[in-house]
Formats: sequence, structure tokens, C-alpha cells
Amino acid sequence: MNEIENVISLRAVGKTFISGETPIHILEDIDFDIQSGQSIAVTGKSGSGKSTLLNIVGTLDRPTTGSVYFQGQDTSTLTDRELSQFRNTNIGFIFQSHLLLDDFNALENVCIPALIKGMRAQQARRRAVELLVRVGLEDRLSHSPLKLSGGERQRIAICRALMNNPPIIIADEPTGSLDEESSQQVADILFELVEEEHKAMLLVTHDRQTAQRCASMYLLQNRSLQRLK
Amino acid sequence: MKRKTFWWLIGRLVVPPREFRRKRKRIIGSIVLIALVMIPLVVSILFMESMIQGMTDKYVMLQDGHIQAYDFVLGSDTQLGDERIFSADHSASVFGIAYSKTQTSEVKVKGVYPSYFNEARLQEISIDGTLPEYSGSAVPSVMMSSTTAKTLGVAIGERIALMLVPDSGTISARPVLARIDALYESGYRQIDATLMFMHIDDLLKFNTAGYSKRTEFIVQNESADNLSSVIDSLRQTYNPNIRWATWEAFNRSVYQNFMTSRQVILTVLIMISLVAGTYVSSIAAELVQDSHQSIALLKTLGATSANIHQAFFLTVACTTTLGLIIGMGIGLLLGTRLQSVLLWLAKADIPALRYYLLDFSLKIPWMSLLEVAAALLGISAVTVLIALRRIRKISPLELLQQE
Repeated sequence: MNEIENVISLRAVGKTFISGETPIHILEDIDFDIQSGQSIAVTGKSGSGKSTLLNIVGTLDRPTTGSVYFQGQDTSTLTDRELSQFRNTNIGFIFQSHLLLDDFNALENVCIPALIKGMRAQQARRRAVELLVRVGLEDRLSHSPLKLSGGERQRIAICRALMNNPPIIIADEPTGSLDEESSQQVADILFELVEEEHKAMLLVTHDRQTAQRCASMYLLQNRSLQRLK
Repeated sequence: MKRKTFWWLIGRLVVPPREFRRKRKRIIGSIVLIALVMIPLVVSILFMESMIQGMTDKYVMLQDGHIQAYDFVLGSDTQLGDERIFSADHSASVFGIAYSKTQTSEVKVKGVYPSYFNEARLQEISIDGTLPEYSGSAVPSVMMSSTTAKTLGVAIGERIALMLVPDSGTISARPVLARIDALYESGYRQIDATLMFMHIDDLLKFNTAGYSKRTEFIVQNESADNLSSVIDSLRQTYNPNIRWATWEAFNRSVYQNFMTSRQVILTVLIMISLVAGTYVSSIAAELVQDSHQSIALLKTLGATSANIHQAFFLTVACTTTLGLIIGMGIGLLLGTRLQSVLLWLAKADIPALRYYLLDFSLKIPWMSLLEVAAALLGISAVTVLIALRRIRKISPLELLQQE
């Protein structure tokens, strides 16, 4: 597969933290590609390094060794400012606890990435409304996140991740804090939208059932990735 | 980030939605606190500057004029020749002691023509009785302050004895009887305590040689700060050998006292505003602390540290400016209402306040207010910038660690 066709490529990525004088190796020599429209699930025990891997792929953290390529471009060469712009345009994040800005209503929360990007407010609003309608929140546009259920908040977070039409969505336990029914609903919406919008997705989850819905599945164990599916 | 988004973000930080009562209360509390600091500062500046200006006006109008020309008598038909000159009046003065039946008081007798009490001077004093006219008799008419009259225990129509002491040591002191035809009140005890007026021809009649004679010039308000240039122009117009002096040179110690008091008080007020300015940085620090997760999230979503830094800086700047404007507004309003309280205090004749000038017209000293406001804004800008350095250190990763 050509590097350019891969949305994200990890080459010999390693991550080591220093605790006192002792180096703690979290990831070692990871090679990994995510292609356009491909959904990949990464599972593993708590503390296995899933979040660290996700942070590196999402350019929130830098690897100790190796490189992360985005559509062939080495992200390690980007400055912090360029990385901010890069994340804004190319990566949609969904977190376990939704992480919405409570000072803003549902519609405004979805608009934020587009407004940071520099999209006109009216255009951003149109796109946000369209996404919120698709996830069934058309009657919650002006609601504060504080007045919404966990499932509704996570649906807003999904819309926000898709707002700038990024080629890849990174989801960290998106259903982890929801009850079974809401979890199922959110997972359905997430997979449906990702497929409709033809996005690549890196999903970190404990939930085997949700992970099974991805095209590929990896297990992070002993600092390296093993393909399960 | 587009400017529109930027302002939207600031707007939300300054005026959080109703649900965030604590945030709203904190922002409003900060505005109120800054305003509360500004109110007494503005009132103090207004009071101090107006009082000093009032005292200066009393000295200038009643005692020395802006400019004095010694041993120089301006003819009645002489053209003033400079538009900056408001009036020129011939005067003579001599020190002496006034005697009533029971009391004595040191006085400075000033000889002037009735025209001396022109529109500008009449604004500085209130007169009860008739202005001293040339008597031509051995008992001249005088106008003394009600303070001196109270000290001597005399009233209009009564007589006093004056022992005038000429400047020249070769001329002996001379006793004179005088009739009180008017009482005046300038509101400033420093002047009222000694100054007494007599018709200049009456005064000079007693002894021309031993008394200090001069012409007092009053200049237009806009030229009052540039007296040396007016003197230069007068020198060219009149005899170059005339000795000229400004009121501040003549009253050097009084002028220096005014200036020193003004500078000390202004410095203290600026120091207070600096302390208030450093308080503003705590608002910034709290704002960052409370918005820690939001900042990390905004960074994750692609906002740069500079964008967020700018938004927070402007939020605090808006809060400070709003507090400043409200404080200044209320301060000016209270300051202008202060006059009636001061007038009441002046009439109450409280011993502790006796040497303050309490009856003066309030003037808004924009420059001093601007200095204090600039000091507050300047120091808050610096301290806030230091407090906001924390924003750069907040990593998007902290967002995930807090999950």
C-alpha cells in the first residue's frame, strides 16, 4: 500500500517515560497503518498503553522513537502551532466523557472546530444543524450540555468530531461511560456516520462487541500490537 | 481563529450563560471591586486638584495676581497690548497691626482702586457692605475679612486703629484710625486671616515711599501655565528695566507646598491603583484555573495558545476597563455632589478643617485621572500577562489525564 493512501502510518514508533531514573517502555517498535475509510479497533488491558498510542496517533503526544506520518507527511516536523492547525483540520476526537464546553450550547459546541478553522459562522451553523439532525438532536440545539443525558452529550461530541470533515476520527472509549442502551445507540450512530462520511476511525475500547464492528481489530499487549482480525 | 470567533469566545468568557452563576458572580464581583477602588481614588483626586486650584486662585486673584511688575504704574490710558492679559491693576501694600478696643491682629493692608474687584476677583470673594472709596479724610475706609473682624470683635461701621509698618527701616511706623465699611469672605483662612483692603490713594497718602507698589496682572486661564512667555511679551511692550515676577516665584514656599502635596498625594493614589492592578492578575489566574479543562479541549480542537491567551487577556482587560469606567463615572458623580457637603463643612467652622479651603469650584482634572487609570491598566496588563503564561503550559494531554 502506498504511504499516500494511508491516512495515518506509524513507523517504528516507541514511547518511553522516565520515572525517576528508571525508563518505562510503554510502546516499542510499532508499525501500523490506517487507510482511508478503514475502521480499526485497539483493545487491551488497562495500562497497556492504548491511550498513549491514541495520543501519539492524534498528535497530542510525540513518540520517543519512530515517526507518525499523515498522508505521507512526517508530523514530527510540525511546530506546535502547525500541529494545532493540523489537528483542527485532519482529526476528529471523541472522548470517553464527551468533554463538551459547558459555557456553550449544543449547537455552539459542534460549531467550535469550524469556527477555529475560520469557517463563516452561518456556514458552520448550517453544517452543525445538519449533523445534529442526523443524530436526532434537532430539538436540543440550544440546550446546555449540563441539561442533556450522557448519550445525548456523546452524540454532540460525535457531531463535533465530524464538523470539519476530517479524514480520521479518533475515539477513546466513546461508549465507556454510558449505560447499555445508550451505549448501543451511540455506537450505532458513530459507525453509521463514519461509514456514510467515509472516514477512517481508530477506536480504543474495552468493549469487545463494539470492537468487533470495526474492519480490523488489534490487541495491545507487551508494548506491541497483535492483529486479532 | 477568525476574529469573529475570537470575540465570541471572549464574550462568553466575560458574560457566561445564566447557568454559571458562580462564574457570573466572580466576573461581576471583580468589576464591582475595581469600581470600588476607583471611586475613592477619583473623589480624592477631584478634591485634591480642585482644592489646590482653588487655593492658587485665591492667592492669584486676591493677593498677588499672576504676574507682578514692581514700582511700575500702568497709566489708565495704557493699552494692555497682549490678548492674554485679562486685567492689570495698580496696588500697594504694607504690613501692620490692627487694634480694636480689646484685641489685636496682624494684618497686611492692601491699597487698591474699587475697579480692582473685577468680575474674576468677585468670583473669589463675597462682600458685605460697600467697597472702600477714597475718603480724603484722616479716617479711611477699610474692608477686612469676617475672620479678622471676628478676631478683633468688630463689625461694619465700627472703627479700628492700624499701626502700619513700612518696608523701609528709615521710615517710622504710623498709627492710623480706620472705619470698617465692608467685610469680605474668601473661604480661605490663610488669606482671610491677614488681608485687609483700603483705597490705594488713602494708603499712599500716609506714606508713599515706604510701601511696596506694583501692578498686578491677571492672565487668561489658558495662559496661566505659561507665564514666562507672557512676561517676555510684556518686557518688550514696557520698559525693559521693570522687575517682573510670577505669583509662584513670589510665593515660592506656598507654590512648592502645593506642588509637593499634589505629587505626594498623586503618588499615593497611583500606588493604590497599582495594588488594585495586581489584584486584577488574580482574576486572570482564577479564570485560567477554572477554565483549565476548556483550554486543554480548545487546544485539542486546534486553537493555538496565542489565540486562547489573547482571548483571556482581552476578557480581563474588558473586566478591568468596565470596572474602571463604572468607578470613574460614580467617582465623578459623587465628586461633583461633594461640593454641597464641603460647603456645609465650611459653614460649620470645624477647627480641624479651618485651614482647608472648602469653598471652591470643582474642576475635573482629566490628566491626573488619566494617569491613575493608565497606572491601573498598565500594571494589570503586565501582571495579567504573567498570570496568563500558565495557558501555554496547559497541554491537550491534560484533558485526557483528567478523564
